Amino acid sequence: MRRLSLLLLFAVTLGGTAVLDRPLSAEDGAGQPDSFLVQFGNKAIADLTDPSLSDEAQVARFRELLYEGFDVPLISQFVAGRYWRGADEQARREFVEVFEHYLDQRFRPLFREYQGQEFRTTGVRSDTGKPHLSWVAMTVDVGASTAAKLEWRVRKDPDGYKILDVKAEGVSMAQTLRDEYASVARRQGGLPGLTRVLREKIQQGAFTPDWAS
Amino acid sequence: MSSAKPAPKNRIFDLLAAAVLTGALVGCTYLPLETREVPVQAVAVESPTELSDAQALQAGGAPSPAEIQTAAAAQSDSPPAQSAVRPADELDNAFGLTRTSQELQGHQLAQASDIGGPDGAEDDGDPLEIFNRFMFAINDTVDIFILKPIAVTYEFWVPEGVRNSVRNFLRNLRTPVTLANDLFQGEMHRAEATLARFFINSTVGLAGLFDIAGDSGWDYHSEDFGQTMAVYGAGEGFYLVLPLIGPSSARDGAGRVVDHFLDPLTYLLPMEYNLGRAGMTAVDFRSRNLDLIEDMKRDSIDYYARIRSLYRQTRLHEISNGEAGDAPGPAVSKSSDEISQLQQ
Repeated sequence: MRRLSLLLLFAVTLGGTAVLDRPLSAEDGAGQPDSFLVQFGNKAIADLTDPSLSDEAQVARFRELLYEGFDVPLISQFVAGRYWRGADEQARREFVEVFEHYLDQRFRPLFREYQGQEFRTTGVRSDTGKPHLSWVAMTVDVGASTAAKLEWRVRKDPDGYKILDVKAEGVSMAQTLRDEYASVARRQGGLPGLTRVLREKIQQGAFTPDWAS
Repeated sequence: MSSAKPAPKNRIFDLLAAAVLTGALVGCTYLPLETREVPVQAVAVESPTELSDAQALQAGGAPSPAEIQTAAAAQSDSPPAQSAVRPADELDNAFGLTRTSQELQGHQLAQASDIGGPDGAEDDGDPLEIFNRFMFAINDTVDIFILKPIAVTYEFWVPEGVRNSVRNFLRNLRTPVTLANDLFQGEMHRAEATLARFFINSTVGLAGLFDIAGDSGWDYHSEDFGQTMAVYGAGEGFYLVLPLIGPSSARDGAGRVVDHFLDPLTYLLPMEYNLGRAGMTAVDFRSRNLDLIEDMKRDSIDYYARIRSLYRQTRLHEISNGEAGDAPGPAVSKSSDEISQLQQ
């Protein structure tokens, strides 16, 4: 049980408050992965905490941002793991659609917590053997005297950058979902069963944080 | 308060612990990392890509770049439903993405491996899953009816400063185990930090109640014999949920037993004291994570599987001291970085 403290940092980072370690300066190049992340994060905070946006408009904006900053189809395929291959096109489309709903329900409310905050990064490192991948580090405050290291995995595309994953204290969000989904898919008859379970939970509002429901 | 010889109850406990250690070590021996991590035989081969990956891994290494290229070429001829990587056009059309097929062809396989490698063989590494889920449910019940109420009460009534001192004191007591494992792993700088923390906090910090060393740059870290075995190449073995303790593995369970023997307080103090110390550690942890655990339970569609995944990833992180979070390790599906490192 003691070890769970680190494991749980993963959950915290999803709703934590950014610690401002290194402000983005004007000298930072706009073409760098950390600059991309800072600019994208600040834009997302500004857009999704805009009080003039209706709920419907906020949902639409969140999904636009999701596809702008993340490679959602690739992440969807990754978290589906081996069950992706055995599924037909219809099952895959339904899973991606439901996974997008999951992301919306789980993460959009968290932006309320970020109102007035700014994304700040603490460093960038290249991925070994993969020059088109970078890890952008930042620190998040997870308590009065505790901070956790967060790393975003960012891929450089010809037309910009895409976020592929986020790690907190060594725990990958994509890998965690992949392991969990594999367990459910195995017992529920593959990707359609996993999609059904996710859809039921979404309809129950199960992924909405308590304070936001 | 202390005695030179262990009490009879302690001797019985030691015998039981030795038996568990032996069994767990046998488990580690029969389920080493290399043979359990990629169970090629158990996975249905569905595409040329998966076949080549599996063959390469079975031969003792990851697919080479050339093999990956070959697999990519073969994959392009595969039916979409059997593709080992994203049929990008299908998904992109479905969601109105604007990248062309040509652009995607060039990056298709590389992108699929950017997150965690080609989705090939996966293994839960959990042959005792039925037992583990049963034990997990028991632990969860104990948590709901005993540990959580105590933790809530503790968190509500005890001031934060006192709770921090309790944690500092418990951490200070663990110094001998951490120090021994620092030395076993040849981590002299970390051993120095452990020793410095102990002397500073035990004196200026009033028997460990205050973390003066932490404020002076000697940050706390923990080591255990499970990590030491991993550093020397021991595989995780099977996943194991221990009664009251929670997520573990054959290797880490054995490591706990060794740590028990490494701890001088095992011999100096009665077993009741050590049980109380373990209980206080659990209450301290639980009180610091009340909301987070509730969040995790609500957010999971398989709480057991999520905890299992988090435990394994965190252990990898701890084993590498946070320096190589992408390093290969037991029982976690191969990430792209793991494959990259195996290729080197």
